[in-house]
Amino acid sequence: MDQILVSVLSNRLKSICGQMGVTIEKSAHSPLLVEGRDFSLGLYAADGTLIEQTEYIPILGYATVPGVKAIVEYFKDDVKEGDVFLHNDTYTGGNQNSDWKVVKPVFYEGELVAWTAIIAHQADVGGAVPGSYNPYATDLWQEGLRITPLKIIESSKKRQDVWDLVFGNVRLPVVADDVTAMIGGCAVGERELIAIYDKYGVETLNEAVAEIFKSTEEIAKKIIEDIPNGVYTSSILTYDDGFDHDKEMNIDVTITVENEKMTFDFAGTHPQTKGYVNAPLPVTISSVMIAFFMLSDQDLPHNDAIHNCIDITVPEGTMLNPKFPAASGFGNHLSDQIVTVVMMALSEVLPERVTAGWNPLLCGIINGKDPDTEAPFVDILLNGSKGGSGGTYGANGFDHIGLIASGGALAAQDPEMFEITMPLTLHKYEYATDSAGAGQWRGGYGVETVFEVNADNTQLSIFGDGKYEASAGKGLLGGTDGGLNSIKIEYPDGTVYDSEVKDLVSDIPAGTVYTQIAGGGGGYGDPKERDKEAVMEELKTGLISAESAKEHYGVEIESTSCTSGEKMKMR
Amino acid sequence: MGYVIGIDVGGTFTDLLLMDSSTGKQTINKTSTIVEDPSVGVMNGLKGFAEMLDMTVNELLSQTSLIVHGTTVTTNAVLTNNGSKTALVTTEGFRDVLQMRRGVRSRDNLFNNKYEAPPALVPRDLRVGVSERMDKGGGVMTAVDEKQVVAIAEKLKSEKVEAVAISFMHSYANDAHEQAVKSIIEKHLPEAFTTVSTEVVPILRLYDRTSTAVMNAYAGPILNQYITNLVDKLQDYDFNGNLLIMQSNGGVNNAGTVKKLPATTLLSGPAAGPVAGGKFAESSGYENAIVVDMGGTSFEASIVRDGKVSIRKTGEINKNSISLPMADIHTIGSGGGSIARVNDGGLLKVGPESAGATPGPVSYGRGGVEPTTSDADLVLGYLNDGYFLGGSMRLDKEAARDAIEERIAEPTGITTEKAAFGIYSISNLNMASGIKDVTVENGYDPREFPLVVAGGAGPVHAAMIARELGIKEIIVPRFSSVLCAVGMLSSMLRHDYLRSHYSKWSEVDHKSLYSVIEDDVQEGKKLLSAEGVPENEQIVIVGLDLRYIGQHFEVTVEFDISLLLNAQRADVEELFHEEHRRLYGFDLRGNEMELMNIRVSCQGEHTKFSIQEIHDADKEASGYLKNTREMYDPVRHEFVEANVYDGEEMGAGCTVDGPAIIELVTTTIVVPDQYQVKTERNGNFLMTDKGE
Repeated sequence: MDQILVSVLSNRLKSICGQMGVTIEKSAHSPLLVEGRDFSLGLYAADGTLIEQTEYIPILGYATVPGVKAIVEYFKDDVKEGDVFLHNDTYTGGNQNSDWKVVKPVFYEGELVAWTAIIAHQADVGGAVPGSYNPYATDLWQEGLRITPLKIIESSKKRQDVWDLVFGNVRLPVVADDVTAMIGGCAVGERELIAIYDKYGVETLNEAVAEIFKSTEEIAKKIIEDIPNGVYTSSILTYDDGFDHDKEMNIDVTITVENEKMTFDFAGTHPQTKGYVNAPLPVTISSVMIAFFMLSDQDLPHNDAIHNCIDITVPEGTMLNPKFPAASGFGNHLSDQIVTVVMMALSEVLPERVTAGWNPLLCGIINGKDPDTEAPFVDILLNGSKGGSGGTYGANGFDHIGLIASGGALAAQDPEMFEITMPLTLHKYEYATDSAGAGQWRGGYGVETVFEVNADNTQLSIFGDGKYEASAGKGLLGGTDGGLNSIKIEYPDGTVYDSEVKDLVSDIPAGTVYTQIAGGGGGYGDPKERDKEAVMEELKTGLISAESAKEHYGVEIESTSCTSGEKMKMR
Repeated sequence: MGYVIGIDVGGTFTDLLLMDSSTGKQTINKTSTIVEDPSVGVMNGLKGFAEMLDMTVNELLSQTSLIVHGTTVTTNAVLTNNGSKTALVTTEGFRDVLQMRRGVRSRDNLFNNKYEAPPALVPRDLRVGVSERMDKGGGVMTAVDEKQVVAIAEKLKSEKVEAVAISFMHSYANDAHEQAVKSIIEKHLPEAFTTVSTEVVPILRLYDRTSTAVMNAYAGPILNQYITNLVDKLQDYDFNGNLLIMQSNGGVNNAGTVKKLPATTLLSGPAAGPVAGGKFAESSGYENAIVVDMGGTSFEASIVRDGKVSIRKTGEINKNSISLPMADIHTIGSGGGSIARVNDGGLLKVGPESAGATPGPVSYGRGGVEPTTSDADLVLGYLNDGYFLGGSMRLDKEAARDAIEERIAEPTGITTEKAAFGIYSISNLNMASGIKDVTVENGYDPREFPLVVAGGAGPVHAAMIARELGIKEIIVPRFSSVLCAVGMLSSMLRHDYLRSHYSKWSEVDHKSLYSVIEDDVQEGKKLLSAEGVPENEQIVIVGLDLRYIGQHFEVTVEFDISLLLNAQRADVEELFHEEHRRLYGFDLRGNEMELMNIRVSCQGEHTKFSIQEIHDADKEASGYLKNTREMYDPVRHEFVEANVYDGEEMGAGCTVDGPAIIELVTTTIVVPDQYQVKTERNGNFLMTDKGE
């Protein structure tokens, strides 16, 4: 086939994804989608093969595929033009209860020819805790509404009874608005695909897709061929299963590179846990893909062809592939450790491509009632959770970026909007001194957030990791680990509660002060090799303390005055 | 007084347009930009006019009543981190908000861990917190610690800070603390350029307001020095007319006001493009237009609706947020210099990497080895190797062909011509996608607009870009190569004001609303009067940023101030629902709304400008035939022998049918099969798609 036409059609498919994304951004209601852009979308072949996608949040990208395939297989011939499907079930291909997929078939001249799909994090999906992060859940029913492959619109007609059942089981009306926006986005994708069929025909586009797949596979093979053949292993710990706060759970990986093929085997990983610290299989698939794309410096289409050279296996019954009916609400956040363990395993053979560990997420969801308006509020405290990313060869880690699963796409709320939308008063929101791991290229700085709660009976659901030494953002190749995470709750009577990393704190009274430190990323390479000028600059600006500068970099300031002309000396 | 002059200082060229206001006769001049001191280039351009008119510069300028000037001085300062040494005084606990940029790495670099953000415009040791605090309602929670402020002022003085920005939490609700600190800072640092956030943009959102204030301070001393220097030079040559400066919003302002608000000029140069494009479209009978400018490295697209330039509320320069109204110009990395490559998977990509001006395309012979869009245009016969820039530059067609053959055709196993056409097609797709970003994304259907095309390479690609979008009418203005200079003279005076006024819509009453903006309206009208606009010709537009409660984006509705004064509440609501529906495809009539900001724009005409007309043709188009040349017809998909016409000489009323080529000194119009071009009195080449 004409390679130019293939290139042209490849551009067109990418452009459709862009238009679907814009539709969501413009029409969704919840801040998570509009400002946080916590969604992803893609185009699929008739059999559910991923053709092209645009990840607004990387973790949701490849995690969507198994659920789309589940819908295709479940409904088989019972798919009509104008149908729309909904899905989240973690035992039929879903990655997390809170991430709902809207999937819409595309018909051309009466034939099912393709699908469009959008996945997005919902503000609430029912279950015991508003916001749907329930650290005490021991099965999936306690976490939220389970949506197995479900038809919500049939032949362009809304199934009102189904619709009412679904949205009658979530707390916030904004969820129905967001799903409506997702349906609109899928319809835009459908319309634009039909425009391509009108112009080029189904046959031509299918041929082009086959060529694009070949091309993607070629690029992926070249990336893998550049990695020396061998078997590479590593292991990482994660803490707290929600019940036993000291519990250690390991994630093991064995990576085998053989010419143009790469396998990731997670055998040896900790058995599934009692609570919600379990990741459905799509999370691991997507996390490995994030690591792969971060390791390669190539711009390649993100489609299913990549699986022709990458195999991912996770034994059933482990924390990364739990058996029915385990809870798994925390699962997406194991991506922090999955990506890091892959980077650690490959650090010796790909020293210039790997990245030191990102700060693992520690995040709070706050909910309560605004005393002035009597209106309920729920918010994911993204600002406070934004730790630093890891250093890498040639570049420092990124400051105040947040979880690796987001790739740095999640925007923090503006401090003034934060106070306007919630009964909270922000006292401090600054880089956390000494939080970055030291290295030739340091880790990114984390952030310190202090706010006061102005409403009684407020509840905090806390989920994450990074409180203990072994779970810090890992330093690589001589770099030191990033700083630790912590959340402290100081009650009006002066007592302080040091929160666990999986926790649920209820009945918080007005006047309570919440202090969170999001740690930094791990450093990369020997700190002694770091540019001394850069260290002195950070010392001068207070990002690093005199003790830390001396200890890690051997840099000292003689005078501590803040004026210019101060003398600095290097050792 | 006889002359008015528009001057646009761009990165490479300074473009000038001179109009004799008694006859309306217009002359253009193009000279090299002197980057070290742009005012030198300006003076060179003026000398050029003086020579054309056979007079001295003193004679020319003493007869010049008005100079309208667009500058990139502030833009360059921010883009290259070369502004003044600036400090930020902010609320204690919030000094890093400026650098955090809301914690977004870069949405184009989700998987790129080697990406590092540009440094903040103010280093951390010059970002200082003050003990003070307002609550969200503007109530004082903590009074200003004035002793601390004095100590800070002394420290900044010893640091030899040249500019200071002051921005406090919730100052939009109560600016008392900002003003108190300002007076202390000004007392201790009288030489420094001091900016208070609420005086630049009194709106909600700390990061956006602070970033805007910082950019204002950062660029302030530089712009002031530049304008002072320019005025001195002009006055040395007997200029005693008015100097107006183009703002990012596509309107002009007097130099005195702009010196206080340098941030309003951060996109001064390109903002005039859509103004001129709209004017050219209007002269051909269109109220709406998509205006595109294709240069060597970038492609800019914007829209004009009802004769007005589309305005966006916020923008970004080098990852720094700016919350001032600015012409909505979308820039993508696609131009004549865009590099074509075959990737490891065997597919062809064009851009965003560019060969720029150096080394430039292979055919320029300046050392470029990778084929570019311009090289493809040459191989396809669209460009004339012997008549590039009117013959002043020779292009190496063989070298272009060899590069495409070796790097594109051979690896993909296709012919060189096919490869060249592939580059041309993908480049067109990229640009069409850029146009979709400003139309479809903003709820407009591109098919309802004519395409106004400027820039040297634009008219080569215009027909096929338009067809990709279903656009039937294309306008190529004769003065398209100095588009922005035309925009300077055809612009309006414009004074914009913006205030936060956060409240439920149901609780807003019109009288109080007017009292909020009354001062701004009076200020704007006073300025317009001083600038010579009669009271009855002053236009006052009110804009309300509204949203349904629970939403996170505001929709701005604009209307004449009379609607507000007459308290037509339901009419305003209806405007909002309609605009919401247009943008997002739905409205939520019946849902409660909330007001976020109030905008005021006072506008008036500074110059009676009309498009320069050309003479009627005294012969058929065939009379302007220069020769024929082999060109790849992008519609027929084959090489054809195309007629080549002299576009410089062609008068109004001619018709040219494709396939054909119309050559001008600074551009080439490719007219494919199924297309027809008519020349108009206003100098426009109107190209129509007659296919399908």
